Amino acid sequence: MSERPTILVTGPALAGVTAVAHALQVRLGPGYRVVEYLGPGERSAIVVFVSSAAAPMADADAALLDDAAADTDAVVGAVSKIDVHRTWPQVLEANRNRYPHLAWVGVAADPQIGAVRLDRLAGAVLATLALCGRERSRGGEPAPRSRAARTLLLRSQIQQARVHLAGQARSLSVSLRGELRHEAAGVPRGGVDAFCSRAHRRSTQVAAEFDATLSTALPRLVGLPAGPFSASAPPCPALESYLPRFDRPRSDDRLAVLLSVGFGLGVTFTVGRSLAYLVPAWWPAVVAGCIAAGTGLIVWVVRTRSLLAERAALDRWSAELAAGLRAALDDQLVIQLLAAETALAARSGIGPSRDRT
Amino acid sequence: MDDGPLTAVLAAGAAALDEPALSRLSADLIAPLRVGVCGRPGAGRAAVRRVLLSAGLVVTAPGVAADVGVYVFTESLTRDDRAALAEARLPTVAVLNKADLAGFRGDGPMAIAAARCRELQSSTGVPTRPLAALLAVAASDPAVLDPELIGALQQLKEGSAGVNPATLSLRIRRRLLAELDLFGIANAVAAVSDGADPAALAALFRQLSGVNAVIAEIDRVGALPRYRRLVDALAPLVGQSVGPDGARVAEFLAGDAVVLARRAAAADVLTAAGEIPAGEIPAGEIPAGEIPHDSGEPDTALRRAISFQRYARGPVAVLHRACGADIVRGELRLWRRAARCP
Repeated sequence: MSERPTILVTGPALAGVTAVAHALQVRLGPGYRVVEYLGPGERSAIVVFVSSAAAPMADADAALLDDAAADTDAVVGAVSKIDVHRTWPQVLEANRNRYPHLAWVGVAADPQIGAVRLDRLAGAVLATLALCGRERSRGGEPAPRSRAARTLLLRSQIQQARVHLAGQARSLSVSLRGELRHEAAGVPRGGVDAFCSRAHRRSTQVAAEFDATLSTALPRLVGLPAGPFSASAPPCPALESYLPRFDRPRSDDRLAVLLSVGFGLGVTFTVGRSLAYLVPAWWPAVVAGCIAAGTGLIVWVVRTRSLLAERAALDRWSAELAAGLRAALDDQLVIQLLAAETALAARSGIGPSRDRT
Repeated sequence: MDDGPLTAVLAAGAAALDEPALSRLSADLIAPLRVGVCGRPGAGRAAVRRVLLSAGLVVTAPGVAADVGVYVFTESLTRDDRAALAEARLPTVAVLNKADLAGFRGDGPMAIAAARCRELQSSTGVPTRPLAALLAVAASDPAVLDPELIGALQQLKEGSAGVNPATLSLRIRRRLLAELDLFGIANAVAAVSDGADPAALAALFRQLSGVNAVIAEIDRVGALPRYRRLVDALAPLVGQSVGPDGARVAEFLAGDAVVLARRAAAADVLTAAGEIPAGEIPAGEIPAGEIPHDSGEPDTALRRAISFQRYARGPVAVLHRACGADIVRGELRLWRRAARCP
């Protein structure tokens, strides 16, 4: 292991974990990595369990310690705040009686009275690390354990990437849907074809964008140089096969015409009769004018209704298009992730074929 | 701890009615609330027990039934502490002990501890108060602030230019640390250099330690067991009141004194539970036969009665409903007494 050893500092709330972690990092220098939380799949070389000198460990603290020390034997117990709690030796003794196999030391990492007292903790940490290192080199690195750890790490990285990228795919398709629906609500007469081709273009664009994200983010997320692993991926189905075609609404055209004609005729008769009653001398002109106006009204209503029907259809189609795009992106993601997993497994030698030997 | 006016009423009733059961009852009611101290090991349960004992409370031995619980913890609530508080069956006060060591920055340890207590109280719902049991013991126990210790503090004060604790004997230094600790020593030296005598020092410690707030909180929380006790005590009397010579008992039970005492106890319970703000129900112990002064507000008692009847009909716990009913009865009695009844 050429990496610098990770030191996990943990403990109950308000015990002084952060102060101890900070002081320990300062004391040990950049050759060691002191963390308060482990990332997914990460393992610590040693655990420092911080417990306040205010009182002996409670059962809940013990459970916390058991959790933290579940996969390591290298644990150092630290009793913190020994600058203010005068009775810390008794507390330390009580904790030692509870966990006799741990090295217990007192620390004042961020003292309010007196100087920082961290030497013994640093010494204990280094001694325990050295001891573990010796044991490891004597017994040889247990291969199955490290392989299991690597598998775990790999799996969690892949899962993380999956979650992250799936979220991205979802948000891309949702934003495209919103955009298209907004546009569809204002499509002008005769603009349907232009809208459709624009929508297709946008979908292709989004898909390309996601593809670019995949080919840069995925290798980075799984820690590979960009690009090559996707060569082994089976080709993704063409984007076009996911996107639905737009069909103009036909069925209610006839009904729309019928209703519009009725409406136009009604208006013509009503207005015509009223005018003829008011100005009887002008009746030929009134009849002609009303017929012209009624015809115009019929044409306008028919066209407006068909435009509205088209917009509604476009709205539905936009949602379908976005759903199709989402499916396409998801498929692409799954295929790429599979390829990445295969490539990673092959690289770190933990593939199924190796396991069986 | 004040057990309400009912004890006096009962005593008077016992004398007037010559009823042995009543005197037993009044003796029961006079008995102070028993406080049970439990908590996290190492947090200072014994010291808290000692503090409460010296403050005059009755503290039961561990494992013995009590009326009010005190849960001692320190620094912060662990998961165990939270579970214990959530499962507590008694009305409980949580006490953050060793508050004098909560941190010497900012406004000082007691302020830090008080802020932490507020935070914890809002997350658990259990009244939580800081306490420096060491200082409270020092304040109440004359054996702590004895001439030897005072002399040592004087000596520390005199060397103020360059305080040299080495001039004190090792035993004294150990005693100072063990019985006052850092915060106590610092405050004591400051007070002594201002010319404080042992009594003033004890008063200072008492005020610093937060013990008064803890006791006030225990008293507040004790409203519930007191009310329960009262209701339980009166229940058998109802049975007697239908007996052969029950008329006098019945008269006593329906008398203003009992009704008003129940009203006061019920108001305490609702106040302690946070259902009504403190002071909403004014004390209503009116000597029998005397017309109270007109408060200027006409029919406030009637209005309160109406509002509490509405309250008791609402979605509230059974206990609070009973309290509401008691308050309504008491307020109506007050209203009638004020001769506003048509």
